[in-house]
Amino acid sequence: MARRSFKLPAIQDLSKEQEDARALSKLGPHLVIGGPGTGKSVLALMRSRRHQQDGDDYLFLVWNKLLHQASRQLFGENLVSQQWQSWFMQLFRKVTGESVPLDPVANPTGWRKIDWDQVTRTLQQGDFDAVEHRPYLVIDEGQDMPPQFYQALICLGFENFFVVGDANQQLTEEHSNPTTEIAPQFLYEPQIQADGLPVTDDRGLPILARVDEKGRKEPLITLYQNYRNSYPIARLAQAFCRGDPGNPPADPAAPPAFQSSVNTPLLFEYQEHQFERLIARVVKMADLNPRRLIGIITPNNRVRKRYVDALNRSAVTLDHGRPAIQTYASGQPAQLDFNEGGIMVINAQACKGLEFDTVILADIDEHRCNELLIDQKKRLFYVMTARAIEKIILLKRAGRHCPVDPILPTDSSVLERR
Amino acid sequence: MAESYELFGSAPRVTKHLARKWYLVTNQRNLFFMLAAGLIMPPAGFGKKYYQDTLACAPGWIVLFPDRAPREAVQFSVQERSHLLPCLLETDLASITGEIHVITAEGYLSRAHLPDELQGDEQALLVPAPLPITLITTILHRSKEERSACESDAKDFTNVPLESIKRSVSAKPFSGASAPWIAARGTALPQRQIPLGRVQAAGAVMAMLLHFGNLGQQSVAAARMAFDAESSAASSDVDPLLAYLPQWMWSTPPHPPEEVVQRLFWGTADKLVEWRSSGVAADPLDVILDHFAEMGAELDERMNSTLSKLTRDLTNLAGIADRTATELFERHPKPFSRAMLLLFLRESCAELLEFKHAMLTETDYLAAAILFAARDGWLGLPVTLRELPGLSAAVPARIAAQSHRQQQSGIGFSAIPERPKPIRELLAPGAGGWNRAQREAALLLAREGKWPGVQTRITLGRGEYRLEVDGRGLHLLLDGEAKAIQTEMEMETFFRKLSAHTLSSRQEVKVRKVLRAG
Repeated sequence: MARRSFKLPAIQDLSKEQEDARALSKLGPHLVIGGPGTGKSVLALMRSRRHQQDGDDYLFLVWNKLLHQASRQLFGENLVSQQWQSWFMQLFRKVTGESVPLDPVANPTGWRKIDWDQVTRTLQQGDFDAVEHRPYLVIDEGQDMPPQFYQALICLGFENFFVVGDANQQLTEEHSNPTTEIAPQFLYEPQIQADGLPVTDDRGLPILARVDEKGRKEPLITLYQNYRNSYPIARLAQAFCRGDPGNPPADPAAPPAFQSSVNTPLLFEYQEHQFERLIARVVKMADLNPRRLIGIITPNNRVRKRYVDALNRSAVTLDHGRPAIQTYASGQPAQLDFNEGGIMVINAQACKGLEFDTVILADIDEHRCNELLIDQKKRLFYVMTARAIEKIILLKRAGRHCPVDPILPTDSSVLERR
Repeated sequence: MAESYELFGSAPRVTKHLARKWYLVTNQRNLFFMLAAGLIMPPAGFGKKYYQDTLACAPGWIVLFPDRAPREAVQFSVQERSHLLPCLLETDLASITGEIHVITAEGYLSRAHLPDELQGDEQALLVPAPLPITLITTILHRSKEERSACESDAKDFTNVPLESIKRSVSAKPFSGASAPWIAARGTALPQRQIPLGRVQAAGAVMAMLLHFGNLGQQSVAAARMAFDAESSAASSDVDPLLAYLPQWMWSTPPHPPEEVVQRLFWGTADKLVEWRSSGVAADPLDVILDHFAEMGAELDERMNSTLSKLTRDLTNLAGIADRTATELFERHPKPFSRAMLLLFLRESCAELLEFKHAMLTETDYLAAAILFAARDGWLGLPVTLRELPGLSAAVPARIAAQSHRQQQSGIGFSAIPERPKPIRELLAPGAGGWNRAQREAALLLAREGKWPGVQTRITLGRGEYRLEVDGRGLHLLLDGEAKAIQTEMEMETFFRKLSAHTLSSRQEVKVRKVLRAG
């Protein structure tokens, strides 16, 4: 199978804002915000790479197991990284001698959340100056860790952070708004003019800044330019963006030169008897370039299994033999190989932070949605659509009620229906 | 286009000695971009990634200071961001010929011809852009810390060949006195607009055709045409589709080809160059399909039908593809269509170089290489694709010279490095077959690749020989001594394997070393 790996950028690939973020001092806490595709994770990995090259004691923290695995495989096994919760639990035990306090009530899967109030009380009462090991922390998807997590680390004497995040991509119950909940902890403050009005950037957003270790003002860096997604994909993603005022969505790369594009995202409604043929086409798509990764993002386990079974059954004559077909379900050990192209079938909740050359949102009619869930669903679709680099296709079964229809854009230049 | 800035209005303190070192004052980020682009160029060449430096003071001109750069110029070049580090690029002017402007010792703007008309007391030179980065002899940093930071910084990018140029530390040249160079009296400096899209594409075409130069005789001819247009204006060794290459690369302005398929193909290459240079967000496929639609009126029914079929298949590639590459190549047997398909089947020049398919012909690969190069430009090539010996020196000099021809600036370069040749060309046998060095080079590749065709020739004197078989094997017994035992590579097999094999940079270096030693 063709290998994939983390590719360093070319000089023209990074914007001035990204260069500003790349040049941030190793010392002190830094926050970088930006919508999906603005290169936050690339910057976090480049930061880690710099620490690695300089022989620094650093740790790259990620939100979930899958993203952890993807980062390690694409970057190389020498990336010093960990899933944030398991790292924090170990740290807490080490410094307090106790297990991290958990909520007494478990969720339906048996998972018990960390009792952050109790964690805060414990840490505030103790004297933990004796923490010997305080690596530079590089944190990806920083909006998915709760504010108390950052508070706890600061309480334990951690000083050097590089956090990237986006409030519009919060998918978890425990989350932080980077500008209102993380930035103040890192001592970023709104900048005020002499007349008392806030200083704003050229988009009218208030500028936050902190004072760095040399006494200079360091503005909070906001990345605006979308580099991952093609213009049509970025437009589709924007259609789902809730638009947190402090966390702007990424801009598509530049104004469109054409009213419609052959790459306009496609919503394809298929009859049940067309399913096997559809699957055969997906397999052929994977065969066209074995280095590319197709992500099929499913609404639930039933749909996930249906697609995996059909892909494995599919008998098509190919140039390169059957592509690697991998899948992952929450709760299972993550054993996916992001180093190679092929097809990866995962559930919606697991797609966060990942990227695929092509994304297929499978059977979107199986997503549950009602008036109360609209914001949550929009956020999910915002995250799912923005996983695609080149191409995105939405599939739904014909003749079925589709609960997410109301959130889908109706403009055919944004989402073409077939 | 960047604005002009007025700088350094204070009174001059003229140094009346022959200035032998000429410095461009910039910062490390602009330096990186110029190294990647192969050119010292005006701000417009940087797209959105330009950081204010002395290139902005006279857009289209390269300002060079002698011996010590004014402190203000250094400060001016790093003031846009706190993370910028100043760099001085020591530039060798010996090979430049033509008219430049100078700021005289008295502070006047005047004209002078290189290489002979410098007085030795000029305060600054203004050389028409662009210049090849190969004229940079040394990059100067103020301190070891800044040099180290700069080196570390460059490693974050795939296309910044910083290590190819000598770096040195010296604080003194950064601390020159003020000079009123831009407020000079005399003739106003003419504004210069310099389009670089086509020459960037030309650089990448040279690189890609050199990489494909081992495929066959046509590839050797195409690589030669790419590097030395004047000497190979028309080559009968190449497919008619590609025969327009020298004009496309070097004519000023290029005349459209007569054949309609050629117009379609080279028009596509033009559209890709325009697309890259414009920075618009359109998908290249949209750009190409738009071009096809425009060309439709010029085509006959049969060609229109072929183009419609290609349009459908390209559109399908963008959606849910329903054919494998083999099926697509079966439907499209001509190089033009196959090159178009390859452009969307593979993402980068590196991927195209790796791609092998039994149905593809030499012309298919070469046509695709040209389209990929037009799309990505020399700037878009990673350092790993520039590592072929001689390539990084040959390309910047040629594209800078071509840019000046296009502008009719009168600037020329007397020392254009020799073109790098494909291994296949270097191994072309003479009348008596391969010479010793060529035989060794061929054997080296064959052994490394474990290719068939390696054979041993034992030259024997006349006589009768006995064969003996024992437990150790078969023995040939001779009276006296064998005249020569020589390991050889069978030539036909060798060239067949060479066509099918992509040589690594390491192999290229080793083979060229063997050939040079011979």
